[in-house]
Amino acid sequence: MSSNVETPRNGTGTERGVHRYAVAVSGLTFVTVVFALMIVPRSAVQLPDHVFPLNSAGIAPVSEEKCFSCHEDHVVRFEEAPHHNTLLPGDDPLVTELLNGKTFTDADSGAEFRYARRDKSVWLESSRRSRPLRVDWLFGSGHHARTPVTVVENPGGGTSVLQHVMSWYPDDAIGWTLGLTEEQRDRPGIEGVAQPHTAQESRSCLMCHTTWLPETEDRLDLARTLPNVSCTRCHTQAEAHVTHAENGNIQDWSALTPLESVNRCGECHRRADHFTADELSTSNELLVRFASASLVQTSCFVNQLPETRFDCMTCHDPHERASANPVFYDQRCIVCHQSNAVCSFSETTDECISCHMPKIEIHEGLKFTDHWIRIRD
Amino acid sequence: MILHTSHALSPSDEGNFNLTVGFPIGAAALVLSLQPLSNVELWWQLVRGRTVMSGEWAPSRFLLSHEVLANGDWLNGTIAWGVFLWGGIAGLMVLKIFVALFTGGRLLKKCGRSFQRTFFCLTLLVAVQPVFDPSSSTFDFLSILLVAALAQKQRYFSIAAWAVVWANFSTGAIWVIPVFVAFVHHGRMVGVRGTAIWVCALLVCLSLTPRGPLSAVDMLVLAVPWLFNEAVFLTGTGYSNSPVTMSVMAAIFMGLSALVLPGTVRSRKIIVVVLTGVGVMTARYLPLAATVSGLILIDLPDNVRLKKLSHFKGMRVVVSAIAATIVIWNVAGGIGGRSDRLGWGIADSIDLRFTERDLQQHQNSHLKAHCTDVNGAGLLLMACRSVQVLDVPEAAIRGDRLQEFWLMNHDLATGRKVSFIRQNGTEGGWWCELINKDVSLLVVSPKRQAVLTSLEPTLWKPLSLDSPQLVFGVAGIRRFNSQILTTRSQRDLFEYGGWRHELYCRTSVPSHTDLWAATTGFLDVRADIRQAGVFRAMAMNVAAVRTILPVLDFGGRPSCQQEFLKIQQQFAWYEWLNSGQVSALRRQVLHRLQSEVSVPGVPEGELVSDKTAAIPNDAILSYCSGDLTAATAALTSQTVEAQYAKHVFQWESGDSRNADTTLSMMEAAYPDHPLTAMIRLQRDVQ
Repeated sequence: MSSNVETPRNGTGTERGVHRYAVAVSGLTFVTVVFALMIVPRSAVQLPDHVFPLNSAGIAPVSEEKCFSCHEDHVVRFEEAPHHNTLLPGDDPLVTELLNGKTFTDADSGAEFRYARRDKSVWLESSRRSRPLRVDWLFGSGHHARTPVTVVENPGGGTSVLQHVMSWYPDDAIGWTLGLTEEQRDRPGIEGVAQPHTAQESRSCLMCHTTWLPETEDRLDLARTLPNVSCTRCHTQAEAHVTHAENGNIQDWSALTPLESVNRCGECHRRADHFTADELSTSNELLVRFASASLVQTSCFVNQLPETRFDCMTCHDPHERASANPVFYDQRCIVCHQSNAVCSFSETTDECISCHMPKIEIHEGLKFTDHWIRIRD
Repeated sequence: MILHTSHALSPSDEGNFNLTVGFPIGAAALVLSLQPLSNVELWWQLVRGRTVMSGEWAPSRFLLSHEVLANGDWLNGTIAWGVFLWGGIAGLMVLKIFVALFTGGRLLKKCGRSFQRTFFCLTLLVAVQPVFDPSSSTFDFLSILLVAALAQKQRYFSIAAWAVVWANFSTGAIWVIPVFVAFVHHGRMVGVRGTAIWVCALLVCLSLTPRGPLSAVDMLVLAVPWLFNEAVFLTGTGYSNSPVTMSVMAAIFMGLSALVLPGTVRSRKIIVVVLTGVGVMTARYLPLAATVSGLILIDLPDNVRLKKLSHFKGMRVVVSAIAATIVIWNVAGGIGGRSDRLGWGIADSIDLRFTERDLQQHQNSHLKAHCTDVNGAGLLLMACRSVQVLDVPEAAIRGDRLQEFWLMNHDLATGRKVSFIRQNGTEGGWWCELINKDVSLLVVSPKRQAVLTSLEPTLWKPLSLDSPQLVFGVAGIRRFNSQILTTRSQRDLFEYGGWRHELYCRTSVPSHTDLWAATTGFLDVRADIRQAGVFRAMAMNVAAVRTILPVLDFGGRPSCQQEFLKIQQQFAWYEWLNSGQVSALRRQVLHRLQSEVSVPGVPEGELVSDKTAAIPNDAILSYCSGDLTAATAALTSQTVEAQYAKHVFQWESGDSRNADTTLSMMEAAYPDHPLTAMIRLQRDVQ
């Protein structure tokens, strides 16, 4: 197509003005495009840090070493606490020590399971799968059990945890993982060896067993994760505390209401509102595993007075292993129950726990304390 | 610049002109409107209209549990609802065609005898096509035309009066200001000061709504939401642009503006250019920005020397070619079938019938729901009068709740079910949030496949599997139990039963007539591909492949091939996960589809290839083109891989009897082979 525009050789004043405007607009166009290309792509894919969970920030949290410099006694004491030992990487020597050479044969199906060390890793070999599964992480503090998992990428690009059907128990033997029904123990395919979890479920598992679980574009970055529940998992605003130590502006749990405090523990130990009404029943034996959900159902919790605050930390110091001595807990009960002024149900004996909070066996050799404090039939 | 007027046309030239310009523009207008209604906000606006007509003057507050303030645009949807009451979907289609033809007619008048203008009118017609679907944008579009005409006639008080009406109908009323500024100077208007006074007066007019001065603020927030919200929170809400689209649109628009300016050097034009440029930055206002800039361009004197029309060789050919392109493009549904094509009625993606069916038992239940997008909210509220929705993106943006709304969807998609504390101190986790807000219905768009996957292991179960918006209820709540159980048995049928999917022509659906398919036989398979995606997201891979195979057989398109590839990757991954190896069938199919054998998550070393066990190429080709009969026939070998492939073909085609026979043969010949175990596993799950 031929151009029919007639362009004068010498522009008039108006045309020069026109030219200036055209240049200005062209410049504006350029700036706009550059702005769009530079600003928008970055913000479109990147969630702002402040909406991430406490332990999924973009940058690593304050290190334990930093905490140690001022709170040496707390940090040292905490090292032995179950919280501090909730997740071991597969190459940790303790994993080999606990699992290597352990075998299990199911009497009913004849299926065999064996953990063996090869190539610096521990693998689960089974008659049910042609290829072994590598132990990438070992979940649990060992107080009740430790469960190995294998981590694989799924076709959607997410991280899937394969939870082994075998777990390590305190009697230094492996056996069926807690929670598996008879039917689930005899599944064909991968489920006969390990239970696959979706990427979403896997994230939930790891969230509770890590101090820092960074994500890159919605994918878990397990290479950088900080395993175990450490200081900053519960004590939020640690960064500000380190920067301005004199302000002491770290998360103060005593400033939380008892329900808020229990629910903070319940993020991992389960909150009551994670369950349906049917599940929140004294007849639900499995509820015994989830102390924080049970505790808030009790009359002691619901009817507590401000001067006798009652939450998880009334009896448990999260920085150390829970006491195994029932007398310790009986004494906690008596604080409220020794006087009618605080509680109308005065104590009649000093052995409260054995009747009102008995240990319930929900798995062979595995007992949990029932935190739904009540008078039982 | 030297301006030239065109020569007078002879009567024969006028005739030629009407034929070469009038017909293409008219045909383009008709074709652009003769497509099923597909505006995702249609039902939301209709339900708002219905609410107002039933005597509720603050519709959003009535329909949304999070809304506390009255609407400025409270009358939005009333006109469309009136038309819907009168003529149903057909009435709305008539309105759509009327608006398109009216626009075409207006543009035709402006064409004059200029080639440039004719070309521009056609382009503009395509740009404003989205406003033909009855919505508040249609009202905005017609109002812009009206205000421009009034401004040119110096009827300023009429403009002010219309601004009041406009503000009560649509949040797009803010466009009255740039349109006024752009066209007011044509008359003997006072100077810059006078214009400023009138702009202030118009701002006051825009505040004369039940929401008061806040309505003007709402308009500004919705016009440039990216100024008030972090861009990430706008994604998926219909208020965001992809960076590339945004950049291209900005470049085109500003370039166009550079062309306009030399023709009319006025400072006010620059203001208009900047304001409309801002409008361009929000994709939903692109048609309105195009209208304003189009009106400016059309009103300019021709800045090129025009020849007599009949002397301009090739002009007819060019215009006709452009018009023909527009017509064919739209009639056939665009490249890859991404847009709607010639038809009548309502698009599959917003078809109300499915939602009405799903919620028939709950029509009078006072329930609360969370909907992932406005389409879901509209469909749900239209189907159930007593239901309340938590929020919709538009209301969330206006009410500064967008982050909360978006994060709920994000938590759902990423499976953040249990409660957690965010770094800003707020609580995340969708499970407790929904319980605390007493939500008992979730409406999920099929596009949000991550949400569907995330809900799979939870108690939230779908009430149906084939709706354009999937409704979820909680298992264990009595009102949903029977539907959940029915859906459960449907899942079993689709996945393990002898179910076969058949494509059908949508000319038989009462609410939707696919004229293109009726005349050419080319079916619209977008709904089938969407359905396969839903099945895959719910880990129903056999159902997904059974849905997609007939589409491949029909002549798959790129999106279909892409879905097929994803399903095959899932199959390969499950094979590897369960047996420790990937079958030759899946390896060869993957190689055929992506020219390499790779499956995300499967180590390369474990994708070993055994050349001797290869499946014949004919079988792979037939399978990849959806012809399972030919694929099965091509398998003559008795190797375990061939037997496995044969079983897969028979099983996926719904021929369970022959599949059982093949399995028996494999169990006899290869009882301990992992592939035999794979099939047994499939059957055991069943």
